[in-house]
Amino acid sequence: MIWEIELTLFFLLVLTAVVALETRDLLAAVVALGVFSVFTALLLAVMGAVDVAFTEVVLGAGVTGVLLVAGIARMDRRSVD
Amino acid sequence: MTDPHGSIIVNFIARIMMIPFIILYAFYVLVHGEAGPGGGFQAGAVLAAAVILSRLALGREQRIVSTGGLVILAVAGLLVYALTGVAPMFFGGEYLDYGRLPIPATDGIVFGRVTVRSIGVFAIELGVAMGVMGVLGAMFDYLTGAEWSGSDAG
Amino acid sequence: MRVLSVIAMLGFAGLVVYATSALPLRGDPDAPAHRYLSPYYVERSASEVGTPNIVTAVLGDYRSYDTLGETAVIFTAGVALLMVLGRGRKRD
Repeated sequence: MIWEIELTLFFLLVLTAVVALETRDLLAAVVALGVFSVFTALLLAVMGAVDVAFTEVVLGAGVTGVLLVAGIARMDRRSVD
Repeated sequence: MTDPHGSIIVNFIARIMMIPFIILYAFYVLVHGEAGPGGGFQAGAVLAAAVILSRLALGREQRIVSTGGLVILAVAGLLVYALTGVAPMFFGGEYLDYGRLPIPATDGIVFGRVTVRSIGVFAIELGVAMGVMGVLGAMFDYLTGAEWSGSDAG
Repeated sequence: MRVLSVIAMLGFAGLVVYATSALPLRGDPDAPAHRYLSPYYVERSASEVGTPNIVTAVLGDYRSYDTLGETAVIFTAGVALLMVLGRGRKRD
């Protein structure tokens, strides 16, 4: 619809994906993944798929983040540098 | 992770403001899914968020549902869906043919604008919400379980 | 190794972008889905199902088996995770 907004969102989406992949700290990677989910949800909302955007923002940014943090809290090893 | 948080502000905000509002909003999403964005899956995810928040902020003693209750809820959700599908088969319909549900109706309309089929759709949305809430909450419980110890599970 | 993975990723990205160019544009009224399928749902879901939300009507009624399978997938994933994580718990 408004292509400037979509282009900005796509750019931020790729940026957060690269940050989530490249960061050494696992918690920071989880946070970047949550931000990635929020941008995905905004993109879906711009496209008109409000149902999917709603699911994405609840699951991707909310529950998945908590589950991943719970998983990280159980691990003893750090990320390999 | 699931010890009760010491801060009284976190406790108060979670108990008085956030958890009731989240649960109310989840039921709004579930019921309103017939008319607007929303539905069973989203409502279940929001309910699971409320359950997880209650465990994070209030601790294990004052959680909303126990782990066993969540597992039962997950099973019951799928069962509600499947049995809603089976029920019309006893009244001359096919599997998941909600129009044949045994609900008193004239010409498919129960009252107002509510049709028999929409009641069937609501029943399966309820099942999906229960299932998603149970699965996500039980996942969190098992991931942070205190009775689990890393050594003997290999 | 790292350079190789980046090259492979860029190659796949290029392939996907190239393949996407053959798809109809988003919201194109002449796309096959919008010429045959969408009008059916838009015209008949209100009278056949009775839910005002077409998305719910499609997911809950027309594509009911899909939603049942989706719920079963989520349930199975959850049960598998519970079995794996509950392996070290006390057993009688």
